[in-house]
Amino acid sequence: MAQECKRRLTPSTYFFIAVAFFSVFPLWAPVMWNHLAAEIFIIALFAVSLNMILGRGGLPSFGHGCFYCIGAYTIALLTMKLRLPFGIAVIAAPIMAAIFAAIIGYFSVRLTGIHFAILTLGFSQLVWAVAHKWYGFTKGDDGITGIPVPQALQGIIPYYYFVFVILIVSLILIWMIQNSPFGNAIVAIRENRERVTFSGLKVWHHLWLNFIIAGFFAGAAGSLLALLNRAVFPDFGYWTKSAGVVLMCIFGGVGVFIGPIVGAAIITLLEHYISIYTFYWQMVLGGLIIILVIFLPGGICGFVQDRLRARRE
Amino acid sequence: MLLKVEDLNKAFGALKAVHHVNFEVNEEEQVAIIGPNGAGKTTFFNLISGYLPADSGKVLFNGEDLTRLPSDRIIRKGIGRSFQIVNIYPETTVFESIQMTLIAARRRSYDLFSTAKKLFREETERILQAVGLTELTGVAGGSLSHGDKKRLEMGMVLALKPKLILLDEPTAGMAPEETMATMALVKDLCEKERLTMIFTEHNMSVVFDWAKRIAVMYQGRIIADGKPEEIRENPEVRRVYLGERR
Repeated sequence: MAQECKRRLTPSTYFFIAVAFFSVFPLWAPVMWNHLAAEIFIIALFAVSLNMILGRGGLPSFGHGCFYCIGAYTIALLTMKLRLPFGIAVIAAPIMAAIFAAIIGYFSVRLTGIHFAILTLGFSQLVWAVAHKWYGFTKGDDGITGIPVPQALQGIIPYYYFVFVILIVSLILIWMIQNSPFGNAIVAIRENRERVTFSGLKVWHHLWLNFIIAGFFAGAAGSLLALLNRAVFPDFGYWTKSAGVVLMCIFGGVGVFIGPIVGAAIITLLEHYISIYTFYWQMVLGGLIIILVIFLPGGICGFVQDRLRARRE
Repeated sequence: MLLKVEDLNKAFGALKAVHHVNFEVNEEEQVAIIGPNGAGKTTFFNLISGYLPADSGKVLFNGEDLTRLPSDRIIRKGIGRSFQIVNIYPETTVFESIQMTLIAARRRSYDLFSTAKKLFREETERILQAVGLTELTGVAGGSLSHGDKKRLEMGMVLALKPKLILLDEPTAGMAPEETMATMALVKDLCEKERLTMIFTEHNMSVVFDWAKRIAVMYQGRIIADGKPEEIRENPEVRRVYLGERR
């Protein structure tokens, strides 16, 4: 009975424990840790948004970085070129990313597998090329620096809380969407497109909407990173960024909601700490990925979930 | 008249899979289409359900022309189908598979904020009961036995509440006992739910027991269409089909 109770409470209990922990985190953590935590929150949101396409939809997007990049550049250009108020720019960034996701998704979601991967990659390279080469508009590879941030968000602690609140709200929304009839339809499409079609659903309409929503949240994450660094650079949209976030999802586990969050946290921390000791931190990461793919194909969270399930049974 | 097929044609290269087929089905009628393998039965279903485009001819459903519509639209008009090779969600549980189909059938699939798990539970139970899967609600579709997969697929078709059901060889690959049980289930459902149904079968003995109307397909044509007695006596059917078996 007690065990039954414990089992039923688990996901929401863990969620509240995590929220409580990170709510008081800045009170005792050093400043650098706050900065790192905020960065992890942002990358985690980016990874969770990708997993809507990758894990839930079963479509390997190698161009998700472009929405991250569009979110970041939108906030930079709106606040610096058009001098729009901060609030409007913050709202416009994910919307702009969603608009681009609508255009790119319209062409991409009808494809599957490697074709989908290559087309999303191609589109994202186009966006990157604009950011990288069009000096008059985006300042090219110099990036845009000195993005203004309102007085209230200028310290790292207030900004940490700003990111934290947006992350929590976004995660709740994504969680709801994943457990909604729409979210179930996306999983059903991943499992058997034909059966979904013969249940009377327009498959690509659903995948398209899913792609747009994922683009929206990636754009939100990108704009938050731009504000954290007060700068944007074209490499936000370079293909390595897109591939990196795919890795995070696979590392943490695409089949579990928190998988991408765990993957984002571990890889960001590794990148940060191993690079202090060695210039070749990618070698460590590469080795870890090889081990993981061979021995834990479901990612870290997939492995833990299987273990817990096995123990229960 | 619910379904009217007019001069329907489909060729794959030189092979005339469906050749000048005319066919009608009335409401609450159950028709068995029999014919040897390769006779064009599955292609005929694929043309009706929009899985393949017809070369020429028309499919009218409730007087409406379906011939150029995509499959999902045709399904929404009220046609449900099963496949010869079972077509289910391999990792989704039996319960959720039916529930998902109900979500689709009731047009709730664009609902972003309800909890899917709470929807249509009673109806799901009722359908699972109808197809005899109440014991297996928590099992993933892919782990079911072959016969149970077919039952699940039939349950998903029923969940759509179609006006016309197309079952493509519901007993394909089944052992004799399983075949009898499945046909008994189909017969039972037809009587209780007053379904309109076309099903294909290559094994004649399965069909003669209970079908009220049988159409025989051979080399893409419907060569006979009538009551079982008439089919049994039809000289052309005897020559191409029954004769071949004796």
